[in-house]
Amino acid sequence: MANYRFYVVIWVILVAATVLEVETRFISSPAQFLVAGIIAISSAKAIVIALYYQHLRYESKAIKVLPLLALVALGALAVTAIVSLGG
Amino acid sequence: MDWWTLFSFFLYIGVAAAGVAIGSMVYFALKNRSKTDRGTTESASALSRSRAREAVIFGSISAILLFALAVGSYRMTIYIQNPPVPSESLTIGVTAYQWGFKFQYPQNITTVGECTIPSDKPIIFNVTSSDVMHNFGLPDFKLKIDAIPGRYNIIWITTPTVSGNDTLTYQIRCYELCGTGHTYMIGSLVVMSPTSFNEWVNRNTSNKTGGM
Amino acid sequence: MGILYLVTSIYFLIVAGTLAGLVRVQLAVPNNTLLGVFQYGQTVTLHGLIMILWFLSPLGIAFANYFVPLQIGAKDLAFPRMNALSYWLYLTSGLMLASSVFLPGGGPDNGWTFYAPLNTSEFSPQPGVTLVALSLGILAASVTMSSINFITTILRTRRKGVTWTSMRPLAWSMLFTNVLMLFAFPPLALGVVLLTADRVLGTVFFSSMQGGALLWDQLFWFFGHPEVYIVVIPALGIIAEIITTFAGRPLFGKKLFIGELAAVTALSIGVWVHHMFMTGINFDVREAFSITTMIISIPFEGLVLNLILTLRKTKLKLTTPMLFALGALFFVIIGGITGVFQAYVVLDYAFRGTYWVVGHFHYVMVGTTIFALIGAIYYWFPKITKRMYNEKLGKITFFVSFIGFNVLYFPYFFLLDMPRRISVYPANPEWWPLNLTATIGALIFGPAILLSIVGLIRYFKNGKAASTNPWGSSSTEWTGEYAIPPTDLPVDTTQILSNPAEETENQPYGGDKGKPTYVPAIIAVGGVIFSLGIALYLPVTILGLTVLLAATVKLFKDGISDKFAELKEEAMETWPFGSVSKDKLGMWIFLLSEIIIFGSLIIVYLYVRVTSAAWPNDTQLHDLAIGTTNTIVLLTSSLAIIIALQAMRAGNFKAAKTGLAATLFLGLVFLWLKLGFEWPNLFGQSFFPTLSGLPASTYYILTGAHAVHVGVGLVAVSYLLLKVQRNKFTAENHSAIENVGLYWHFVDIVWMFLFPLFYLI
Repeated sequence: MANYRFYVVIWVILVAATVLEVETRFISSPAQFLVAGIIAISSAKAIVIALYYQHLRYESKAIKVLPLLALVALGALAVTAIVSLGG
Repeated sequence: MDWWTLFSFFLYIGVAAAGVAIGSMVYFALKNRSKTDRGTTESASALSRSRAREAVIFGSISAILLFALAVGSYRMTIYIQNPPVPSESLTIGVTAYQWGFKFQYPQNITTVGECTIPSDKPIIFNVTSSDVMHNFGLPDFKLKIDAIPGRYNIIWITTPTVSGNDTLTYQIRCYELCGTGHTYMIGSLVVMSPTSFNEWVNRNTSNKTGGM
Repeated sequence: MGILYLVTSIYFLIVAGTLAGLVRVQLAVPNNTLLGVFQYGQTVTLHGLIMILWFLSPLGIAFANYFVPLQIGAKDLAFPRMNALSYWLYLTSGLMLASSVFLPGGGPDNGWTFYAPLNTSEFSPQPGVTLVALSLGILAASVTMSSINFITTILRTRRKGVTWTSMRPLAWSMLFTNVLMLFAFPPLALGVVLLTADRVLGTVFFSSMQGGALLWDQLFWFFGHPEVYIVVIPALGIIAEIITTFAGRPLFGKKLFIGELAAVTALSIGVWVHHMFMTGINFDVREAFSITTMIISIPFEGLVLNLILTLRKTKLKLTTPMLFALGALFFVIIGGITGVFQAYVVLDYAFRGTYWVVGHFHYVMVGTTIFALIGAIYYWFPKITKRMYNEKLGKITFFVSFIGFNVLYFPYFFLLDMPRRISVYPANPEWWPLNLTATIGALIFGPAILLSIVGLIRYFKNGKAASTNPWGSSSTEWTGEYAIPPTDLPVDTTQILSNPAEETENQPYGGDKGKPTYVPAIIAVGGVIFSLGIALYLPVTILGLTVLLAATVKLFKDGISDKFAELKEEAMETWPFGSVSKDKLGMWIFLLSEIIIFGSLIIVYLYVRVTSAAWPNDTQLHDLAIGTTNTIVLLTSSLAIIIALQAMRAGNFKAAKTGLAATLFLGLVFLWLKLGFEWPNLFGQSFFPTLSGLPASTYYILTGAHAVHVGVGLVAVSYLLLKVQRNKFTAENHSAIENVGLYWHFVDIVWMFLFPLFYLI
């Protein structure tokens, strides 16, 4: 029973973060801050889901490393693709 | 330095490296070959010792060679990367299309297939494409650049000296597969003396070629 | 399975080899009229695609299938039925690709690199191009499944004693190759999906002026460069196996060798832009990749040195396989060095698009890889067929092929100015003697290889019986140290389709017997029909989907969990993944490929948005209320499935069922809101890819791809519900719920990023 509560708490945090994100839409602030803030919140939500719902927090280091490897490869593609556009 | 000199430098090192590698491989294979025996006389401990030392030595030699080659080619890299200022050169817009090359001159002249330029001058080519990806290549200058729709890429050369009424003709070729006409996508670069070039410009300003 | 891959890949070799022969004959003399330009274009394109993707890699996979389990003491791969599916997808996609030339308009003639915008409908209208794009997609699926299989097998199902340090070079090279496959094929799959969408749905990813050409370039080469290492690394592993056996000594510096393979693997993901040096991109990016390309040559040459030094201080036998292996090594030295030349941008200005490049890659792909693979066929011939090939014939074919190869390809390095992929060339004294020489080389090389193969086939039937370990190798597949009785039965079709687990006493197994299943083959056929529909006539896709549905239903009835014998936990070597079950590890590895493909898709979106001067105000276009609701719906569905898992663990079946049902319901709500409300609304506002260009293209493809993943997830959740209903799960045995959950949460995470991208910024 206690375990269910834990996941519900996580859910509440995620929903609250979503509401927060939506609110930023209505704040008038320079675009860069908004975008940075939204990206930060989304990433935080993703990490929370990964750590707690996907149990990554409790898995062995070997498993934890796997998604990081994928993200590193993606990072290389993202940075290169976008930077290479500048003359 | 020019491309061939740099390339020869690479070639010497490359051939030497290949020679050492292939030579040692062939040497060991022949020297140690046997129709009957097989197997090593080295002890197990000798065989399984760490090869970290060899790795570091070999890795360093390779890195030094590669770095030497990089240093050797650095000046040329920077040279190619920095076209001269537009005021001292002639800028020609090149549009590659299926299947040929169009050239636009600052004097509002457009030619198709043949690009006439003056000698002893830096020429900047501002290359793009009007349809698919092509490549504007000057094999005699060992230079080329992709022609990409929506982008303008720059390549530049300095033309050699030509005097009087002589002309030098170089080939322009497309080096990127661009459809069924790729095989025949050829142009020419004609270099003439500055005076002849000016005459050419005057002739063509009054009657523009092509109907674009 | 190994045999199937072997035979099929040889078939594709012969097809693509014939195409190569046609190329050389056409180019033998100037202004030849044997092939028209369009025919030549198709020949060259199909030759490249088939050789690289349907022959070289699959032949490596064949040996991996056959010998990696033997080397590591596993009975079979971790997921045998998925392995069968990989094979059928490989076969059907290859046949589909080859058939593209018979479609109206012919096949693709845009080179194996399929550059944009040449590959769009505007410039290549023939449906054959779409069909080939889809074949590539299906092959990508096949390869990704293969890689999940092999990585899980090698990481998790090794027999006790097969430690990381003792594992054989072939197994190691296959591990690295499969890791690269996992990372490299998703961007290719993405590229062909986007291309197909462009061609069939009217999206504008590759036709737009905002970087369409470069977008394809980045995606394709992010795949393309690791792909060539995927081809070469197995060859290096094979050479290591052959040399160590015939030199009768261990590899020089085995740990160093493994380290070098690891370095090459990791670095190969960071060099792809060297295929784009002339595209006019940012100078610093070019220089950075020039440097990474230089760096990767260091461990690569180290590998070569390790192999050469293994020839020292020992006595060796120059048998046929050994000769092929040494030949392969010779070629990798020349191929590798000519590659290093191209790392330097300055030289590349001359090399780009010329035969120098063609010479370089044929030396490594054909020279190194084909010679290594043929050497492998000779090497393992006695093991697979229990017979001996003819040594004399083998050696003759080696020498003739070796000479023929060099006569064929060495002239290419002198054709510095000749463009690639031209079908005729003028009577230029610099070109035609070299071309003629090359053709003569082809006429020697091709038949020699063919003779080798024919010889092997003949001795397969008539060769002398061979002993179990004729080479006296100490490698575990020969010594039988990890053999799993019944050992190596001769090939027999029931074994290929089923893999019956015959139990004998005192074996370290558990599990039930398996039975043959045709589901993988049916899925492959369904996929082909679906693809034909997309390329040719849309209604046919319904038939394809029906077939897939039928296959899915059958799969549900059979049950997903593999019924094949598996090693018991105590008998396995599991560091560092011991705490994770085989199935969970497989799911995580699958999720890695998903991270890459969705991540690349999001990168595509960012790329086009950043390069576009004008972008409509998304926030006004997309309904924030629905978007937010959907986000919360999806988050709740994640909660539902994790509660179902917790309930299951506690033995509360009722709560588990409720949780799963809730997940299913909420997922359906999500899809209904999106597809039933949002999309029709947008259609009403004329927000179509063809009318609104890139913003619409990206929106529909991203949310569409996500919706498809939600749909597939719902199918999986329904399966779980069915199993709970039938009481097939217990409080201890319910890993499927957890694994589907992992997938479901991943789909949720993707939405966490899509939501702000489309609704908030």
